Amino acid sequence: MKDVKYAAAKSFEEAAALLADGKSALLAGGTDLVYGLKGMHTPNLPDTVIDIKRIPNAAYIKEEGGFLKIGALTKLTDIAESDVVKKNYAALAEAAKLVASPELRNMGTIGGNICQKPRCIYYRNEFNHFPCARKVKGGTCYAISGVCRYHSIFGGVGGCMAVCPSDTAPALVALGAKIVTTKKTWEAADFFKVQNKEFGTARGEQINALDLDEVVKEIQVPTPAAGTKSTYKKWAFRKAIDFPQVSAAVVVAGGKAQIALGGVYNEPKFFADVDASDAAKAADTVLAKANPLTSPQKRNNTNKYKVQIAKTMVKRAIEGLK
Amino acid sequence: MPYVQYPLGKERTDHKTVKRYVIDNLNVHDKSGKWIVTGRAEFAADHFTGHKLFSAPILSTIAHGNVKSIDLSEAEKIAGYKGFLTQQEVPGWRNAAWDCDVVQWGQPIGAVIADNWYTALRCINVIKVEYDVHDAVIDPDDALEAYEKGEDYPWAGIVKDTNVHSRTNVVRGDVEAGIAKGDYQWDFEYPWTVTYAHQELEAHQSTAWWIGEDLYIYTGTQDPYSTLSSVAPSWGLPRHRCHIYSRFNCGGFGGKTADWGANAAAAASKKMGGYPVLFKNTRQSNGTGRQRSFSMRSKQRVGVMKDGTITGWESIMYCDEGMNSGTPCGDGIFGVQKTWNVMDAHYQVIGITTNTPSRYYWRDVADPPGGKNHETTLDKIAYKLGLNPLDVRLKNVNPEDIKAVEAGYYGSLPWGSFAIKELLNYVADWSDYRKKYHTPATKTVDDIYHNGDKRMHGIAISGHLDSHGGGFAAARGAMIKAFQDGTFHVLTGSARGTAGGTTVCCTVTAEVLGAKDEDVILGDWSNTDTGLNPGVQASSSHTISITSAFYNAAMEMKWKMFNIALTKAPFNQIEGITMDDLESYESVIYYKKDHSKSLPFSAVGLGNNLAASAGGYDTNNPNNQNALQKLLGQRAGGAWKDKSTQDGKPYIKVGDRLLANGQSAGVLELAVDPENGETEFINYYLAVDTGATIFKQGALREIGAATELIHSQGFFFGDIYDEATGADISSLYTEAQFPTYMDMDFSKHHFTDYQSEDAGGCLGCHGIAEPSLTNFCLVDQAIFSAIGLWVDAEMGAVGGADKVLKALERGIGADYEALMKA
Repeated sequence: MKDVKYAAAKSFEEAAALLADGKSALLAGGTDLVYGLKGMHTPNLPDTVIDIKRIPNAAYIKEEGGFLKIGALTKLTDIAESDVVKKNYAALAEAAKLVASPELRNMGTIGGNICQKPRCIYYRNEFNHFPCARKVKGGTCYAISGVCRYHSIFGGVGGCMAVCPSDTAPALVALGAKIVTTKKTWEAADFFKVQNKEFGTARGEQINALDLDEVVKEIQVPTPAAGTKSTYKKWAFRKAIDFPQVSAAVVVAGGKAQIALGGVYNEPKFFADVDASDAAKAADTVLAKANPLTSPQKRNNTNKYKVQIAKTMVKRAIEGLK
Repeated sequence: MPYVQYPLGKERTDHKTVKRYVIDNLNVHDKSGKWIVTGRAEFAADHFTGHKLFSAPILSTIAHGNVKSIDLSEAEKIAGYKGFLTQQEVPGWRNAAWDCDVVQWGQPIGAVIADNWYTALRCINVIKVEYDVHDAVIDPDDALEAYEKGEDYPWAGIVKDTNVHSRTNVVRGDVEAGIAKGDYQWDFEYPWTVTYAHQELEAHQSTAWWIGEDLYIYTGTQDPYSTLSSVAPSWGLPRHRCHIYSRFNCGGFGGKTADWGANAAAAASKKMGGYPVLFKNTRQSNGTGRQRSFSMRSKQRVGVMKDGTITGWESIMYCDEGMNSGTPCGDGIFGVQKTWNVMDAHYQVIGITTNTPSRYYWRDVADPPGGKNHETTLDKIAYKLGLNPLDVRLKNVNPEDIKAVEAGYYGSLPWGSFAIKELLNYVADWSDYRKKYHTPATKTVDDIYHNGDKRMHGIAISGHLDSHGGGFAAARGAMIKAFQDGTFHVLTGSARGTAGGTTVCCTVTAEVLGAKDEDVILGDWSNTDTGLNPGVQASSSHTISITSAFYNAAMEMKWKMFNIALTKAPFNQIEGITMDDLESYESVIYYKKDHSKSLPFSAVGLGNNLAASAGGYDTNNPNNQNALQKLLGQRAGGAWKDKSTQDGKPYIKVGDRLLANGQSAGVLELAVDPENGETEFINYYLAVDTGATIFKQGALREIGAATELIHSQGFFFGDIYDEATGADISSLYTEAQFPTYMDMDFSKHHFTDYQSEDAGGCLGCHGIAEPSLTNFCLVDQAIFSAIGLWVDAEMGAVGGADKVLKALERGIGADYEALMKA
């Protein structure tokens, strides 16, 4: 386990100040951070862990000013079980409910879920056995010429084929959420932009565009117009404790669908205002530009299956919302 | 239809059994199981808290080559670093490589010793290794091509100047004439099959310490005797100076191989002056270091009559052994060779070495995956002939008038089919197979799955002999040695103190004697000590075979102990008292009518010279004489090696080699969603021939656990290799897709134990109650039944949606149509 120093912050602003050295990381639920510290899979691990669990009043769910507001330290279980979230923001509740297992949902926070590290069978291999482009300057993407079963079907930012593994991220993007940080308020779609110029550094390993000294404080989801329906579908090899190979958050209103796919690209792959009148056609439209990988390896060398699963998922999600 | 459904608790009321060979009502309580789940059990890593050092391995990041240098300078700067072991210092770590130190990615090349486990990991993270890199052979086809062409191809370096390690041939009759005799001659080819790591979640760790020239090891193995056999010679120690403890390590709690770091821990401790050192695998080495089943590809050529009779069968199997040059890959043909009544046959296996993790065969569950090629061949024959897979199998079992015992285990005749026939018929009736069977890709499941979409219905049947055996279940005599202090040593007398199975001997003995668990220990071969572990977890061959002998031996010991006790106070003061008036619990003998009158075992004065055995160890004692024979003798089964008879009945004497092969058959129903490739179990019926087991609870639970494993292997996981480096990159739990209980609906698993008329093994039993590989083949066959397409068996689970979708690109029913046209 990486030897780290410990610090505790009493406010998000204090946490941000502590992050200023660029060599620190936040500890909330710890479900992803501690995994990384133990496996030491990257050379860009933090020297200091800043505990933000004790920041007061940072775990809440409330409707206010036309938004559903969720504190960054709100547990995923609480979001999944919230009546107000289930009623008006079903995609988010369903996404939160499908994260990992009950134990992990009880520990994991919404803030942590959108700040976890990428999912890649090479990236996650312990002791940096595979020094890939995301972790090391000048590194390669092993999936392109290797096992690409779990990787992006829409190409990759900066040549990295690792996917965004967050369940809640697609839901937030499809719902048009905003992410409030210590520095600014992000549109969710912008928040999840991978910073390929930063590859080889801790920032480049993020699944979002946060500065290293920027802290998520709150999620704001606009209250949907009357008649809006949403859902989140997830497909993984395992039925529980697994990351999505494909997921789809779909929000339908006025005949138009906002669709964000998870597990298929570095970021949630967003498709705005898709005609929802014909579900199958909408699914074909969304997946038309998919470009699954086929590696030179003899076996297990394609992720083409993800395209068909995604199509089915989108089609059925739209049909289910009618 | 009666069946036993997990979790267990009830026995079938229609259980088909031959009473005279079954000891009823023996209930072995799983005491240590409770300790394990309540935290009372202490495992190898739990000892010497705060007073031990830690060691972790560093793994090679090349597949083939030599270690040129190891730079420890950064590690030495880390506080708590204590030392480093080279590969050469750990017995067994420099594998049987011909020309190099490293023959696979992920091979341990050294180990750090530190004051803390995490310090050790930190040290590993900064150690730099330089290699002389040799060309690696990752792909088994490349390895074979190198062997066949000889030039410009690298060798894997496992054996000298070749990549083909072994060749197993079984020839029966005239295969060419047999194939020609058929109405049809058909060829089938199969690509490389998946491999599975074994014991995915078992803990691998050892704590060792030295006192003078005595070596002590707590280790996570189910096989303490083999650990002893490995460790003691490695250090030049006589066995009595090497003490192996493996408490609570069985089934899912310890490895089945001998050395899960025991030698590494011993080496590290020696280097630290004998101070206790815990050697523990990292996540990666935990996975890479495990044995895994080998993969196979094959060519099958058959001659077939119109009625389904197979007249000749040639099976050429290629077996990727990885870097293991000693795998018994011949077991890839075990099932076909020993089951189907094909008198003109040629079965061949060619073993290939590659620079990938060691492959082996693990008898069953579902091992070796290549064996499914034979089952699929039977299925293809059936479909081409317009028969169902059940009828083709029944057509090719041995004639009624030849029993297994005549066929002989080592003879040329297949003997497994007698039980297979019974089992197939049983599961067919149970599942209503004949009524449910349909032409592939023609039936949907009744439920509407989504918005009018319907899923395809698939059904499959298969029956198979498992490859258990060897000397595992050798019931060579069960001995219980009593000591003056009221404790007992259990001596199995087996060739191997194999796996956790021996532990149940202790448990059975304790139960029968009425002794405390801790008073009965595995006493053979130095201080191997697994006395507290239950067979429910271990449930290896001994569970069902030799335990019966121990039951008998313990009864004999109890008889002796009670008779001595009758001569001592307070019992000698009771008029007319007999042995029947006594009972024992928790190592105390009580007068049944008045428990205030008692005598602890330690006061009986049994003495070292008393011993009891089953099977004629003390041949002067009529109670003891041929006790094993009484249990086994009248019914030997096909696995009985050395046929001899006494009074016209099969006779087994102590020391005879008895094997524990067994049979199982299953029916699987599933649904396939043709739009997204998802499959779902609808029903899984499984009957396993457990023979005349005395330990029915253990057997049933083993079947239940194995059923889950079959489900897992069929639908969730398989090793994933990076072909460029040869790295097993699926070793981490999440990446391996190893399922949890949340992934399965156990209500769909229906299984039962069964005793066939001619069961194959010792006591006529299946050694371990694990269903054999045929039931893994069911997944393959059932998907074909649903969509008329064969899925690609290469890497990853057969029933995975990715595999099904890949097949569906060919169009529903396409493979079936092609098969019928060919």
